[in-house]
Amino acid sequence: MTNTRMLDVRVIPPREKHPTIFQTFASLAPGESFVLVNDHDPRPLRYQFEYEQAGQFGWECLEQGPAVWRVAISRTAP
Amino acid sequence: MMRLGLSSAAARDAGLGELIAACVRRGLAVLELRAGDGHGVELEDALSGVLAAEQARAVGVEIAVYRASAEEDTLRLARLGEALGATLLLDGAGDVTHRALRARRLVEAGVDAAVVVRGAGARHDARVVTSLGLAVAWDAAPGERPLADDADALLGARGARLRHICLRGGGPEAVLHEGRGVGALMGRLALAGYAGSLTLAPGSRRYEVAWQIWLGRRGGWGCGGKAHDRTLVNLAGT
Repeated sequence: MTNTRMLDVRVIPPREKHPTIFQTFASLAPGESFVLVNDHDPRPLRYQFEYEQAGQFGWECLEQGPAVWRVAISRTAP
Repeated sequence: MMRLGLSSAAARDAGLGELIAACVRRGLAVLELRAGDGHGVELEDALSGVLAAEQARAVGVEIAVYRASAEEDTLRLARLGEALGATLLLDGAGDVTHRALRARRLVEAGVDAAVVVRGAGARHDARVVTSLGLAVAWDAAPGERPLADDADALLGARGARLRHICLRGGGPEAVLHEGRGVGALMGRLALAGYAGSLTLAPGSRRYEVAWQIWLGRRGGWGCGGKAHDRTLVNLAGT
């Protein structure tokens, strides 16, 4: 079993998506990360991260559509 | 790395090409084929498995699992599993020990196999399967029971043995399952580093219209008939 943590939110009911993402992020230790998979540009999520987790997260776009968006989200500070 | 995919149960009459196209359109990486659906990959014809695997692979989709009854002939199952390069899911309503022993024969023959568990007995059945050193495939149905506790149990000590999940109620039905543990399941899979496949399938035939639209399928019903069947639910626009 491995390695890259993959949080695919395409199957999650809409109202549970952001809470699930932030709960997963909260479980990370500094230096750890997961890859978020979504079916649309997660720009609003990034704004929410910048507001609620300023200076504590990394955000690296791995794939930008048109069917799938992938972003590596990491915890950079405790 | 977990891979999300589509079950042929979502479009039982669709050919393989249509299933693959739906995967590409939705950005899904893997396919689950059920014996008896319209994809054309038959237990009696291992060559159909070779051709199907090549057709899917050409556009970056993998046929990850093939689901069949544990009562099928072991040799035919083994040949098709090898031809597809896929994990065989042994399904059936009977005793889980019987299915597990059939799976073990396949594994001993060098073919990857997993035993399907579901419902209230999933945890117990998974213990039986893993005690025999075999992999588990879980049919998770948020419409029938909350997923969180089962997910914890199946991902716990037996996490390494959980090979495949079929989410019966994913895709266009996701909006209906708020509070049923789908979000918690996906979070737990991520944190556990789950590296298996997860395919989407209907929770009920009532949602066929929603699935037709979600998969980009058009028409095919002619005049009247199912298009006016009030038992079918249309979730378009939700």
